[in-house]
Amino acid sequence: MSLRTDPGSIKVNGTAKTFRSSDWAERGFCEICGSTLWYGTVHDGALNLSAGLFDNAAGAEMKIEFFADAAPKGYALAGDHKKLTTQETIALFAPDEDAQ
Amino acid sequence: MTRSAVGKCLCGDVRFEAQDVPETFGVCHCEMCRRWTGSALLEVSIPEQSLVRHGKEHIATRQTSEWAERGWCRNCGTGLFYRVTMAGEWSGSVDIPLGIFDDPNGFVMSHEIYIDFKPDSFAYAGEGRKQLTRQQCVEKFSLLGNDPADASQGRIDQGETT
Repeated sequence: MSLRTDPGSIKVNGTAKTFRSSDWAERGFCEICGSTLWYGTVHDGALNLSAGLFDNAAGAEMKIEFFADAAPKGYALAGDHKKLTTQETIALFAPDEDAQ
Repeated sequence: MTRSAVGKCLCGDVRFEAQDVPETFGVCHCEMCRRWTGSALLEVSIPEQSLVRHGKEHIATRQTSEWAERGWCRNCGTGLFYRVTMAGEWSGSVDIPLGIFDDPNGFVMSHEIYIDFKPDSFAYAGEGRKQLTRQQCVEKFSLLGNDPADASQGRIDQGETT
């Protein structure tokens, strides 16, 4: 769960480490405690900050769920937020690529 | 009923095989689990002796409270386990995040704890699991003691874990 922020708007201090998880993104975590910090898109440097870093998720409202059909069957997120399937998520972010 | 299962972190440096895997998982909304995972810890509890890990040199650990430690992959940051270290009735098992199983399906949510600490922004659908507030947890699990909210009191412990 993450909060989108504008590219370049976040200043990071401390023991963050990143892992390039795909061609388009890297994941940040704390080297000292392993806490999830962000999901960052490489093309613009924008950080989607882990919602758990903030008290009460900074009061944010859940708007959209990606890869919703891929969620393990044991749980589902309640609510009427937008839910995109794997295919819809990929189409949203990589519209020029061949569909899987 | 239990079964065997395998899993790994995102980068594959750490892999595990487990026996005696239950069909249920629990959810914890305490502040430590919230910060660590970004949402909540969805965990499958397995007897320690039923777990075999590969790539242990890639596991970093931290004693995050008086009673438990957490482990993650040094390379990709994937959360690997929560383990009670305090001797007593709650030691002897390892809690594995649901999502790192190769097949995370087939598990049923049996309990959801620290429910009063859950952020307003999300909730899990469905019914049937037992929900416990922080107070109910502290009363039920004596090892929680006074449950300090300040996770920075933990100490770092790099290297191989049991």
